[in-house]
Amino acid sequence: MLEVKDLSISFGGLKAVDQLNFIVPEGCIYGLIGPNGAGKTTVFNMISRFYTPDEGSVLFLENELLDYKIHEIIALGLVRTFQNVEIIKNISVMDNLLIGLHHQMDTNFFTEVLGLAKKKEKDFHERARDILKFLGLEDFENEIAGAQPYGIQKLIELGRTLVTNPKMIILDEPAAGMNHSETKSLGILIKKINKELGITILLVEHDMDLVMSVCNKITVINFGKKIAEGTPSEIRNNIEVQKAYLGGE
Amino acid sequence: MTIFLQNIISGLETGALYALAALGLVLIFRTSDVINFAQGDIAMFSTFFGYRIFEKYMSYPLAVILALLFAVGLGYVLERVFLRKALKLGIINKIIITMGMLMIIQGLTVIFYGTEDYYLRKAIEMDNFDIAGIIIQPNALFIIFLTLGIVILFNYLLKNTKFGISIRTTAEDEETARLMGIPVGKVYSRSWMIATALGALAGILVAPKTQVSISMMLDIHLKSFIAAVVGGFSSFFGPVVGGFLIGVADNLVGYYWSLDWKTAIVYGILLITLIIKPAGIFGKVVRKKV
Amino acid sequence: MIKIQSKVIKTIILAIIVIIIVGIAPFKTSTITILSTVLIYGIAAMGYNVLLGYAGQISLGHAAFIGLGAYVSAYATDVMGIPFLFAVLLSGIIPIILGLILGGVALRLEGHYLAIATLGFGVTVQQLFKVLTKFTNGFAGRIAPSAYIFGNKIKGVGYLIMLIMITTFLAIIIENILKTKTGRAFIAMRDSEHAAKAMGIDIVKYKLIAFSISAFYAGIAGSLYMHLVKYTQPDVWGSVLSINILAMVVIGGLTSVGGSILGAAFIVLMPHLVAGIPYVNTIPSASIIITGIVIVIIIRFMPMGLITFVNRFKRRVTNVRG
Repeated sequence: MLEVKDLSISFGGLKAVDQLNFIVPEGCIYGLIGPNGAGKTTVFNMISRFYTPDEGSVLFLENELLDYKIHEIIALGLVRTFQNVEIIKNISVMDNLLIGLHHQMDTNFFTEVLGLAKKKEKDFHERARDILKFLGLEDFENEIAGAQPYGIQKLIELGRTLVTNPKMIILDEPAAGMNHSETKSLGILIKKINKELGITILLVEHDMDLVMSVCNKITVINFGKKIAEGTPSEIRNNIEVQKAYLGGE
Repeated sequence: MTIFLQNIISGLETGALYALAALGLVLIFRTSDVINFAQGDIAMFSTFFGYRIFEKYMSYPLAVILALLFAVGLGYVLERVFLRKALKLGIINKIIITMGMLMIIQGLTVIFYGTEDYYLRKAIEMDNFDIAGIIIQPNALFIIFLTLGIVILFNYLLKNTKFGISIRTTAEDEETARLMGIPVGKVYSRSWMIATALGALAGILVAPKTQVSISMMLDIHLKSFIAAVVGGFSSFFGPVVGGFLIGVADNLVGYYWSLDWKTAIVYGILLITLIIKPAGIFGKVVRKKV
Repeated sequence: MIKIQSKVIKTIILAIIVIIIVGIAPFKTSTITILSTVLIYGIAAMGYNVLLGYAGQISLGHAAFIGLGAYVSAYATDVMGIPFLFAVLLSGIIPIILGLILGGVALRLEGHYLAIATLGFGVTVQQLFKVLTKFTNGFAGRIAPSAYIFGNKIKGVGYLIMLIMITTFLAIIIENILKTKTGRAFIAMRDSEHAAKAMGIDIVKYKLIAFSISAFYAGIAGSLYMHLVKYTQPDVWGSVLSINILAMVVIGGLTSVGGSILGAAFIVLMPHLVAGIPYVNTIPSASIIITGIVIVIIIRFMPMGLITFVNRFKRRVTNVRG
């Protein structure tokens, strides 16, 4: 589904990511991990087109992502979350999800002006409600997003990605700021999304427990280079990986 | 050729004033993280104060000193009252607060000093002299060298005094500055006090040309923004260079091209800078974190 | 009491009630003019609200658009003989071009840089008004004829009623735009550009739309002003007006359409209120000081603007009805 080929980028002379290659198969929950500063976030930002690599290519379902602008990615079926949980704080949970539906709303400006978009709006509200139910957030529909606890905010952001009917979601350190039990629930939710909604997942993460319990396959990078790839148990026993984590930190 | 050089000198003179104002602007921006849109009116208010002192005591040096002190006090009060509590607000809100400040200050000026224009003398009232056909105003030279002197002094302050270092650290990274025990609050107030004093100085020096009037600082105000952008907000002396550049450009364009269109053309320079090198000539580009 | 669901219907009924009151009540001419001014500024403020409140674009030279609308309307009716209503429409459309230019500049700028660029923009356009005397007559001033609709001269109460209808119409349109996809796109763009882009929102497109809408409304306001006052010259279209429009939107309530009109009422009416207060009315600049203080207080303590009072009152009233 997603193929990263020879991906490289330098910042001010320092090579942050170096000839990275990996493939995320359809239906997989794939993990990208590495010690602090390994370049995970940079890779993530290149895939989601926030950065442009110096070399390499990113193929998503045969589409060369580098030919697309940031806001065009979502239409291909690829959507991301943010480490800082970038929901819109001053509006309701429902409105946040409706923003996720933006690219599916084909009402044009003039139908809006004339107030003719009302029926379509209702349909979108229904779709958002379905996702809220899936996440157990039905009661929060009209609450102000920013007033909710951190865990709920993360779910809101997740909901926003789910309404887009994505084929693949990339999660940017979703366990950041979560305690042990929250992380466990997150793991269960990720598996649920993958299994019940059939969505491929790429997980960039720091929390080893989550990665090991949830991912089918993992790539480990350090200093921008791939140092290992395999199943969780293969990675756990990999000497290079152990050295990277113990040595670097 | 002589006319050209005269225009250059004239340009450097107004440019010096732009530089002073721009330096103040950037100082506040880099420490308090807000663009003080009330800068021009604060300067104007202080100049009126200075004028009254001059009118009463007929001593120019006294008027200047008291006007500067007035500006310093005003800067302190404004920062504490309006901005100190508002630090966490977004950029837009902080800008709006300075607009509110602007209105209050304009209103106060009218209350205390009315709406009339007054004439304030030049700093140096000496006859012009003639060097190889170029007519030079001593006052113009005074302004230029005074500004250079202030800039050099400021630069020395920044590099070699404890206070200067605390300004630079706060400007670079406020969190770190706090952690290092730097009294960030004091840095804010003192930056404001210096900035308003610089503005007041510019006001006093431009008064002979514009009269002491409510609208006296409009040109310097706008041009100081352009100077700061062209020179680069992320450096302290970029805006100074920017100020001189804009002053000279403004004069040359006005003389050789068109007086009517010179505002539009100088604004065009601003836009071109923003498009080609938004960080300014001396600015550093800051990459936004995703 | 019949429960009326649609906000549009409610707004229209309110407008009709206001029109009837205005038609019957023996208001003085000065009152009529003041109310007309409130609505005209309200229209400009509604448009500016889209730009500042919703899309988060700080623009400090908005007077330029209103002025352009005024001059276009004057020129179109006086020199080109275009009928009034068409001229009004034209006055809304032509500033859109200017809006797209400023919007284009705004694409690469944010926060302080945008504020400065728009400030310079406003000053430059005002300078152009002074210089392009063929179009604006410069300092000699431009006159405009009275408004005529189908041969009937519209002035005084008639003009006010027309303004009420136009304002209501424009308010409904803005509500429609802001409560749906476009409005949400603006808010997303304002609060988190990264998230907006990731959700498929084309920032370029929406910034340009925001500038265009605000320019359109400003232009219409300028035209309606022109045919009320019938004379203008470049000094009117400067920073003072731009700051006042900003004040209206901030005080009334960023992201509230009703708030814009409330804010316009505040700014227009305040000098008149001040004139009635015994000690305060001896202070010549009391209005501007009070406005400045109110702005700071609102931003610090009530960022949602004065409209919060209205909303709370509404809620209390509807709760009583149960």
